[in-house]
Amino acid sequence: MDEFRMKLKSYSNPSNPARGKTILSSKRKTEAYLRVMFDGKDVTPKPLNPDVFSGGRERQISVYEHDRPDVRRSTIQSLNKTYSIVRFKSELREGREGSTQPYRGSIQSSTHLTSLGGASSLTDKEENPTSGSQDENAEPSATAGLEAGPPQEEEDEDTSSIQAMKKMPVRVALTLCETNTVFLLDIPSATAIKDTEEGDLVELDNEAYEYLTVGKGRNRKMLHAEVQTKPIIVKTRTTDYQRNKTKAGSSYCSVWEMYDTYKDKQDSEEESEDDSEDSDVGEATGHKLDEVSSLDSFRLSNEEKQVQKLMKSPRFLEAVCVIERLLASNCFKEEQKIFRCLTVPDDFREKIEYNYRLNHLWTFANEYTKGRSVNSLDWNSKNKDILAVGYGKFYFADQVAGLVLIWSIKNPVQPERQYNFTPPVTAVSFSKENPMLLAVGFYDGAVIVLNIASREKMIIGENIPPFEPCWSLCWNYGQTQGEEEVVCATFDDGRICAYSVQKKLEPFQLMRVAKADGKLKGYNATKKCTNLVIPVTRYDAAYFLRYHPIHSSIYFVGTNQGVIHKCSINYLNQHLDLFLAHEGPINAMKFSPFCPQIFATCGDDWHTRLWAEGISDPMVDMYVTMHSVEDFDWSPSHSTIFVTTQSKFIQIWDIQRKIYDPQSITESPSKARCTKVQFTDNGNCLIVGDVDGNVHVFSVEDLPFKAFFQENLLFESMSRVLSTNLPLMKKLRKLRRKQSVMK
Amino acid sequence: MAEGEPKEKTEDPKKVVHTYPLIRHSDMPEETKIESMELVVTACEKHSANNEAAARMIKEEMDKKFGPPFHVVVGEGFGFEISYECSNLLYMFFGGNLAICIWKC
Repeated sequence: MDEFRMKLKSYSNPSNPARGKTILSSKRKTEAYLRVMFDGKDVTPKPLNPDVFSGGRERQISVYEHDRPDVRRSTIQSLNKTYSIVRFKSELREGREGSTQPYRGSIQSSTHLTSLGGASSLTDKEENPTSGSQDENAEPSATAGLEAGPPQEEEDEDTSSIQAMKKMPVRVALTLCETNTVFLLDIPSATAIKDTEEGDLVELDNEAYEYLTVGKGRNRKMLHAEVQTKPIIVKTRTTDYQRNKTKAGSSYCSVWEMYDTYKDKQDSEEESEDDSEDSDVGEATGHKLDEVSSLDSFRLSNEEKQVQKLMKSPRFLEAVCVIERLLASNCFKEEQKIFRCLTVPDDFREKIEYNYRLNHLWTFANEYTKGRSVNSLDWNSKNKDILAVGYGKFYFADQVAGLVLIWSIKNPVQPERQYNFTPPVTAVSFSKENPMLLAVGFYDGAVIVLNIASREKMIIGENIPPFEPCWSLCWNYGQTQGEEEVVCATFDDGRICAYSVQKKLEPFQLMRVAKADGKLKGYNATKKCTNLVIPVTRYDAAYFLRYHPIHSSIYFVGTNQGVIHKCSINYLNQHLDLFLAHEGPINAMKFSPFCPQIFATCGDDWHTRLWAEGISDPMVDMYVTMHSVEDFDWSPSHSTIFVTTQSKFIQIWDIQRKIYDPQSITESPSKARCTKVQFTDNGNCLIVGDVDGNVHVFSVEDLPFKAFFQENLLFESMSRVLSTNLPLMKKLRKLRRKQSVMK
Repeated sequence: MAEGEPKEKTEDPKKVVHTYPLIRHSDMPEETKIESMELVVTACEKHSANNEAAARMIKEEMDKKFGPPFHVVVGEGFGFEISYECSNLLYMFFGGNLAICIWKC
């Protein structure tokens, strides 16, 4: 037994925990083998777990391999020897080399077999000393596991394997080290220890405090003194940022293009090398170019060549222009006579009807104007035969390049001047002082001044384009009377700028119209539903600018929100007054040519309204259909007559007759939406522009006779309209009286 | 004799592959142009197998040097239609098969 103990000790060495497991599990396997051999039949049931099975076999090897007669005799005496030898050989063939350790384990198990019945007590005795020996190098818990082991040994192998698991961590190493000190709470002492250096300092301090507060030091002398820090001087500087110029380009890049480029370069290099010897490079290439052009010119006949030459001469062009006018007058002689009021119907004719009829005379249009909307019209200030028209479309998906044509009534077929531009033209305006100067505004915010005396595009001045479209232009004298004429432009971001022509259109901001908020006077609009506390833009788009007919320093600005701001050029960037005229954008505002107190507005809310200055409520409200009123104009000959355009219809109104309906409605001959309408100065003719690029010229016929006191007629007509609204009528009468007193 | 040999080679033009950088079109100032060209050469040589990385490197460098926003295309075959800020366009060839288009807008 002592020998056994020694062996077991060495076996239960913690370096071989796995083997310890096999010892215990091996026992039953051996039993199984033995039992089968008793039967003498090879019906050994294979264990379900192959790993455990192989473990069992391992034990077997070790048993047979080692010749230990003392043990073997007792173990194998009841075995079939031959069979065990066969097994032994087969095991050997598997190349298993038995080590000393496992076989010792099996010895232990074999002893169990010999003892058979009273084995448990024997093993207890065997194991106990083992546990004692393990104390030297294993933990007590491991020993406890070992002690608990023996009674379980005869149970099934699962429990024994669990026991082995418990055994496994034989040595656990724990390292303890110090962490950094962490202070969770630290309350420093507020006191100092007496008679230390610190304590002395505190005492001194306390004494000084006592002296100053309750001691003699309380009555010390004091002086009051003040000082003022230097004020920080600030300056406000603004500047206009110039827009970056951009270009568009396109190309297709491919290996072939690259090859050609490289080859061309190489060729040209070679050529230049060659040519350097031949002295003249330019002549050779120039000759080639000449050949190409001369090939074309060769095909032309002599006459055509002459025509080509002539076309470049300005004198010829002048002559052609005159001839064209003459030819046109052949066709349009009668119409031109009507336009010039040379054939006025006799006042004493027999049958007189007031039809307010529009007689279509001709249409200014050619192949260039097709599809380009007419955005602006302006008659020349001196020569009333000349009309400038700005074309171009600027809708989101439908943009057409701009064009300015100068038409003359002498030639209704072709324009006298043609200037092409890339951005759509939004506004044109002739200078009053220099009738050959035409200001042109564009959708990209540019404003230029052209000299129309030249056939070529002759730009006098050009502004630094801002980023918003220019909506309208007008010429006016500068801030003080007698100064040079300036161009005033209104922009989509609410700015109104004055441009001086002499200073190359240097901008000078007159005003920026802010968004009007709160309850506004004027037209009593329905309450708008807005949930935006902070508006997207703080400025409204300024659609037009109109100077007051009497007070030259006062002007009116209409916005896309239907608000009219009354401003003065003497007060920059602020308005004198504002009122709501329409619910949507305002398209036009015009003062009556007979009474400067009366003006009319029209807007996208389908209404045309007449207003009197100083009275916030609209005098007359006119409505026909649910189409925005695109433009409005007063007749210069009849104070009560005006014209509006709605969709493709031109409506002539006469408030002397009725206000609920226009006197006549004429459909545009091109059946396109009319954009602009304007009377000629004498009031006999009407020009209407439409979105298709046509400018129709009509003569207005069958009008009533002109009143002698036009202004009186206008006031009386309006009073009659207001007969149901007494407060307004009183206000109007008061205004009338005030005006007559002023006169 | 020395001249004869290279002539024979150039007679077969298909085999000639130019790899030097060539500016196809540019409206940049001369200094900027040269600097950008050198940057393109560096980027394309560094990322010879990865056009995306080369384009990114060029773009980032150009943004740093001349101020954003630059746009860069590096590729072998592509068509383009662009709007660019004046004097900020460079369209060049490099490495025989690469085209580089740089523009600011």
